[in-house]
Amino acid sequence: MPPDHDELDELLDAWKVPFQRDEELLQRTSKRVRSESAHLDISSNKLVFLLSRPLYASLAAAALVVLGVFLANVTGPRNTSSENQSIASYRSMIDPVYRLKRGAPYSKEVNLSESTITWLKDELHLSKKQYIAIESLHNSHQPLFYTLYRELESLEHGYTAFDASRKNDDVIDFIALFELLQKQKEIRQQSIEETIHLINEMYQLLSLEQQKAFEKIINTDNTSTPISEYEI
Amino acid sequence: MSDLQQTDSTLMKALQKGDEQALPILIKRWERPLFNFAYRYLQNSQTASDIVEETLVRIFTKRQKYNPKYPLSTWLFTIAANLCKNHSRWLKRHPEQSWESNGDDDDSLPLKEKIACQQPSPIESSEREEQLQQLRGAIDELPHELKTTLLLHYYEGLSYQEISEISKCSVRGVETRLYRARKLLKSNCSKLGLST
Repeated sequence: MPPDHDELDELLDAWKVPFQRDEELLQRTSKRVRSESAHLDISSNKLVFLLSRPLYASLAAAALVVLGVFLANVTGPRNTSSENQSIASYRSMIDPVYRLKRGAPYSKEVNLSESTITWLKDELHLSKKQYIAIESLHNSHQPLFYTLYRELESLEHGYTAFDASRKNDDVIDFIALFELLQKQKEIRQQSIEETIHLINEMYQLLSLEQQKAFEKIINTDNTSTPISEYEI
Repeated sequence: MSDLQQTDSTLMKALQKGDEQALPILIKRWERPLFNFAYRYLQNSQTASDIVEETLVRIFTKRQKYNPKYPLSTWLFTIAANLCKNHSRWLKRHPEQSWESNGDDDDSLPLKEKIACQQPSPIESSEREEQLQQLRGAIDELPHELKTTLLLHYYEGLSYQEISEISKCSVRGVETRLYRARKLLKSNCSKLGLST
């Protein structure tokens, strides 16, 4: 018999935490705070000094406006579109569920898109060592992503066929439908797990700044569920 | 003004203006609640300490993003809960060997405190310990949203409103989550053989 209301509360109350003040916490935190903000302080102090003078501030504002107009008119739209395309290509490469939703079938078997990895290298400012490791990491995952995509695609076709026959058939095989949906759910879950696994491995190879940039890339496409919201 | 008289909001405003002296006061004030939450969420003291440190570093590095209109607790627990969630996900993929077997570690209490406490008999104590272990296991099994809501409500004493801001859901949603968490907890405890 499950515990009743009071018993559960009693148990919850009884769970104490072995807290001991961490004597070195302040020291460690302060050290990290200083190191993380040091480089920002240097550049921002110089900037604040310059911008405190009206002439420099006006010049800086004017320069920014001109630069903004230039970028918006000359390079903006094309770059944004190309950027989105690259992000979508990369996400398709590491996320079979997304690839299926986007309707971007593999043109050739299991080939890792070199241009996508090169794009990622530029986006994340990867070192040569990182680039090699990341390329190898993606290569090692591609066969499984390919297989999972194929299975998801086949199950999707199966469901479409089932749905079409259902319209003309009085008898519905609910067991077959259930099995199909279960299988679909299972493969989808496996695919998401593999994607998250790859992402976790990527994080291990990236610096903090690169991790932030990477996180932005994998969660940018707002037409689909961001990877960060995948549940496993 | 003494440390105790300074509100979180005052301290955060000082921090935003570059007064680093506010940080030690905030650390001293928030270390325990953050540790308690992270410990109960992850059930590992070393990882909980790491989460506390990371949260405190972030309140400094992201201090300009803090809105003094809201209680600091909401912001802090939002950061801590996200960090716990990320770590938990990571652990599912990379399980560690060194899980602490006992989250309610009374061995950490000094002997004189143990003697001073009115302890139940050894049999009662053992039964209670077993129940607590099952409870911890059941809490660990809860999904992130339910676990966070339960821990913040029961142990950190946050209001539904504060929890709703942390969880990015309505107050009604918090009530529902709390109800679901309790229900699931009872069911899980029952499956684990808890029959008190």
